[in-house]
Order: sequence, then C-alpha cells, then structure tokens
Amino acid sequence: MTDRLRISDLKVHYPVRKGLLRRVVGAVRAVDGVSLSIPTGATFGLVGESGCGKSSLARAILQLQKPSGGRILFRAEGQDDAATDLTALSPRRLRALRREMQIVFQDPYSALNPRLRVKTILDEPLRAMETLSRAERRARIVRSLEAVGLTEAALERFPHQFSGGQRQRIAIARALLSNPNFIVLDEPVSALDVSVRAQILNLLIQLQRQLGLTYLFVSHDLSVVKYLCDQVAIMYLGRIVESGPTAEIFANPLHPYTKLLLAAVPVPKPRRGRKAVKLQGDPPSPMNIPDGCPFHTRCPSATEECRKSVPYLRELGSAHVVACHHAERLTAQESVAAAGNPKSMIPVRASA
Amino acid sequence: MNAPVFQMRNVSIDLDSPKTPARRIANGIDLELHRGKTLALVGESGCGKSVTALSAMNLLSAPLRISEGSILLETEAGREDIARLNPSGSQMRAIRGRRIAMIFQDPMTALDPVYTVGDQITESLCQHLGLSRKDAWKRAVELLRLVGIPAPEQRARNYPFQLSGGMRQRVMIAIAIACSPSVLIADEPTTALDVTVQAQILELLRGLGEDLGMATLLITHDLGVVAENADEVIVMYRGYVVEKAGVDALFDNPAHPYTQGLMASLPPADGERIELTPIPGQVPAITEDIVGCPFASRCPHVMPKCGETMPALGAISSEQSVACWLYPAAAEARP
Repeated sequence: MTDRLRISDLKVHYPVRKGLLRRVVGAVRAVDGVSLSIPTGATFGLVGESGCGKSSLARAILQLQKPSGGRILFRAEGQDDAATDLTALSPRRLRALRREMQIVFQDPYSALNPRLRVKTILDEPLRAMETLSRAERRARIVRSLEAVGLTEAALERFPHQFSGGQRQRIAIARALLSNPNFIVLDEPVSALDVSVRAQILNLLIQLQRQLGLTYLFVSHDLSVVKYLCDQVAIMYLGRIVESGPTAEIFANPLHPYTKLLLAAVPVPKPRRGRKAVKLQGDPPSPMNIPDGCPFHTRCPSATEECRKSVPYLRELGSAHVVACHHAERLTAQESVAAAGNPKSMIPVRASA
Repeated sequence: MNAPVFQMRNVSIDLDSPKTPARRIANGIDLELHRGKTLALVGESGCGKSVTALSAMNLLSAPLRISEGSILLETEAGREDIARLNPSGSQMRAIRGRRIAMIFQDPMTALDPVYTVGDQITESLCQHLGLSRKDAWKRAVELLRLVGIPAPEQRARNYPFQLSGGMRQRVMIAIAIACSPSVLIADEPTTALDVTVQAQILELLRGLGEDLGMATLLITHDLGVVAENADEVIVMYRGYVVEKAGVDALFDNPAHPYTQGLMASLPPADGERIELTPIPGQVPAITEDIVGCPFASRCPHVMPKCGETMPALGAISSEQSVACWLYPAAAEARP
C-alpha cells in the first residue's frame, strides 16, 4: 500500500442536548461518511466553507476527536503492508503512534502558551514522547528550530516577542520534533499577512522535500490550495462533493458547488471582467442537513431527483470523483454554451 | 474629474505615551474620495490602515489623536474640516451616520446583541432624519430588502445571533446606508466571511455605491478584492502611503518595491509550482524608531539615501505616484 492514510466512511456526529435533563434531541453531522486516501509524500488539500466539517475531519484523523463511525488506516514508518486502524487502538498504542503524526494549527497566537519560554514549549512534547537525555533533547530542539529558519537565540524568548510568521515557524518546529511523517496543517497561513504567508508556504514545501512528509492541508483559501496541493477534496455539509488531482479539479470542475466556489474567488487581475455572483444564500446548518443532495437548496440546476436521492461519489475521468446526479449533463451543456458564444461568458468591465 | 466629496489632507496620527515621546502611526496621509467611486487602502497588519479609517470618521480616542492635517467633508453648510470637531461633540455626532458611515470587519461584535436588527436600523433614522418610530420601522424593512435579506418583515424582528455571518454583514450595511451618507468607510468588510458570501457582499457594496452615488473607502489586505472592486488604490506601509495608482496601473506596473514584493508573494493564478518570492524579514515593530524609508530594511534595491530621508510621494505618470528614491525625479518633486 502506497497510501500513508486511508479513511473509509468516517463519521463525526456531535450530540445536541436540550432541556433540564440534557436529553439528546439531535445531532450535528459534522462529518457524514467521508472516504479518502492520501498517498505517501503527497499534499492533500481539504477545502470548504466554515461549518463544512473540514476541521472536525482533520481532528478526527488524529484522534483528537473521537469519530462516531468509520475506519482510519494509517501506515506507520517501517510497516510495509500492515496499516493500523487508529479507531481500534488501545490508548497506549495510540500514544506510541502519535509521534508519527502531528498538527499545526491556524492561529499561532493561541497555539503557543504565552507563559512559557520557547525552550519549554519545545521541550514538553519531547519529554512526553521520547526518552532522551537533556543534552539530546536540546540538540533535537535546536535542529528543529534551524529546520524552520530560526536560531538558538529563540530558545530563551517568550512567544509575544515573535511576529505572527515567526510564531508559526515555532509551531512547525514543535510539530517536527518527533520526526513525524504525517502532518495535518489546519489553515496554517490564514492568520498571516501576504508577504509572510509566502515565506511559510516556501518553508512547508522545502520541509516536505527534505523530510518526505505527507501533508493534509485544510484551508478555505483556494489560491493557496491550488499552489500547494497535489490532490484536493471539496467538502460541503460534512460530505466530500468532489475530489481529484488539483490541476484537474481547477481546470475541469464537475460539481456545481465547486464551479461556483471557484468563480467566487477574487483574482488579483483587474479588467478580467466583473463576474455576476451566481451562488446566493448561506450554507444550511449542519444540524439540519437537507434531504437528498445537501447542495440542492442553493444549486441553480437542482431537479426533483436531487431533492429526493443522495448522490454518491462516482468516478468521471481518471481519479476524478464527483457526487452530483447531473455532472455530465451540466458540463456538456456549459461547453456547448461556451463554444456557441465565447464572449458571453466574460462580461467586459466598463472602463473608468 | 469633479470635486471630491471627501478629502484627507496631510493627516498624521500620533500615539501618545506617558513615558516616551508620542509615536507617529500615520504620516501625512493624502486621499480623495469621489462620488460613486471606490478607493482601496491596502497594506499588511500594523501598516496604519485601520487608524486611518477611524480618523476619517473622527473616531480616534486617547491615546490616539490626529496631530496634523485636515479632513474635509462636503456637508450642507459647505466644506467642513471634521478633524477640528470634538469627536464626541454634537456637531460630529450629527455628521457621523448621516454624511459619513462605516462598516466594521466583524458584524457580530459591531451589532448590539440585545436589540433586534430592526431597532438598530431605526435608531439612526430617528436620530438623524427625525422619523417617527413607525415610519422608521417601515424604512428599516425597506432597507433590509434593499440589501438582499429575504422576508425582511420577519428578519427585522430577529436578534443578531439569529442571523448568519453574511446576513449580519448585510444588516451592518443597511445601518450604514440608512441615512444615505455620501461617504462610506468599509474596514475589511468581508474578512470574516466565506468566499461565496464575500462575493455576494462585495457585489452588494459595489451596486449600492454606484446606485446611491456614494464614495467608498475600502480597507482590505486582499489584493484580489482590490483588483475586482477598486477604481483607485493606495498602498500603505508602516504608516506611510508608498504608492497611489489607478487599479489597472497598479497591477500592470507596480512601482514601489513593497508593492512589487506583495505581488510576487501571491501564488501564481495558473497554479504553477514556481517558488514564491516572499519579502524577506518583517515589518519593523511600532516601537522601533526609523530614520528614512521604513521599507529600507527589507528592500532589494536599498541605497544609502534610503536610510536618511523618506522620499515624498511623486507622480511617475498621470495616474500613478510613488514614494521611492528609485524614481528620483518623482521623489524630489516636493508637493
């Protein structure tokens, strides 16, 4: 098996309690039957709007959140064939496996304890995970700091003495300490300024090349996903609606939601034409997911079939899967329309 | 072009401190807003764009203050320098919300959680236009419809927590345009929203600006938002305006090394995996004293002169000015 991670039918449901007795009256189906696999050494992008379940999925993979169902097969280093099902592990064995998988959070301001010096922040996980002497730990910490472009001088300082970008470097250094081979990056550059964001993206790519890391990159920023990821999955209300190689998804999106999402991204090129906004309204609450296709309430091409039956992911093209009843028909119609009147698709902006 | 409805002339903002001398947060900001046009103010965190926005509303309070310059707003009584008015005085309160209004980044904290959204819209209508409660409520419902909220009669009776993020931002916009102000300041209006909702809100703002003839100051850090929404752009760095240009000129030919650095930091639109060229280093801290150009420490073209004096903003074409010694003719042409 060449996949680092294989997830099948993963579910994360949060109970909703009400009343004096806190009775369970319903469930938020944050992740509702997700299957995906991440090849070793690849960067897998997970995209979606707030509330689509992407962070719940990321946390469930690392067992930071107990999944309600499904399996997570993880191939640890040195295991050639046997992948371990993380959902069935004893706490002790899970603890041992944790050093192989790490996470970097979105907000480097709240991810680092403001009361601790950097040396303590980086020493804690090492003491928890490994049995090393003080000198060995220090050497490991310095190596990790240097890998992210910081120096030993950082050790004695507190988080508030660093800028946002440097803090994110420290968080990455912490994730690297245990020599993991799989890292979940949960919106790691969303809180950073453009110029600093580029520094961190370059660093992530460089570390991946040097250390052979596998990334799960969770983001709502499509331009970054397009740049960084080999494969991408688009989530909507707890389900994956489309997934495939990044270049293929961006060049040839098949799901109506993916198309509208891509069209909504502002592009830093003026005169490209001001586009009409096609996607109206907000996503429904994950507590109350619509019957049938979860997207049918906002989909411009929804039919009776979409309201009644749930579309499942099916393969259209190589490794490109989509969950839409009408993907082929809609895409064929669009290409006919585009060929017939190429200019009508690009409204020209009136010059000022 | 016709006369601007709003003008900031050489505005500087100081941060007073009991122990150290006052620190300058914004230096000699000049900007003009025209009817139906959008001026974007771009820059990274700490560049001074938000204090500039607050000063435009005369909303600064101690330890921040406007130390120099004038802020001219077209009112019934002619041009008024609102920088001279007491920020909490009755004159300023009569202007704020009536002639000039603001939309904040986070609608959840900007709206009052214990009043219905209808009540919050009627407040300024009763205050500024002297409408009766009943008429104001009718107008509030109309405004909610205008900003694209479905079933506005029912929604007006909702509290902010009952609305989604996009709906709350629509309510904020309804409050801002309630008294048809001539100037609208939008401080990162879509940063807290998802891309699909962001596209809806920006389209709404653009349409309202054109239909109602409002002049908009759009503050953002997102160059994509700038490219698609602005007519003119001002780039700020560490309290200085470093470049000012028409939107096409800025993206075709970014002149200041900082603007060039910002553009090179963006992932390429075609998704090609070339290495990004970030700007090395970081923005100098606000507590650092800087002589000369604040970008000198990160600039690839730095010259000895840069460490001595900050160049003035000088025109390099009819629609582009830049504050950089690389353009000596422009830099030396003092206004």
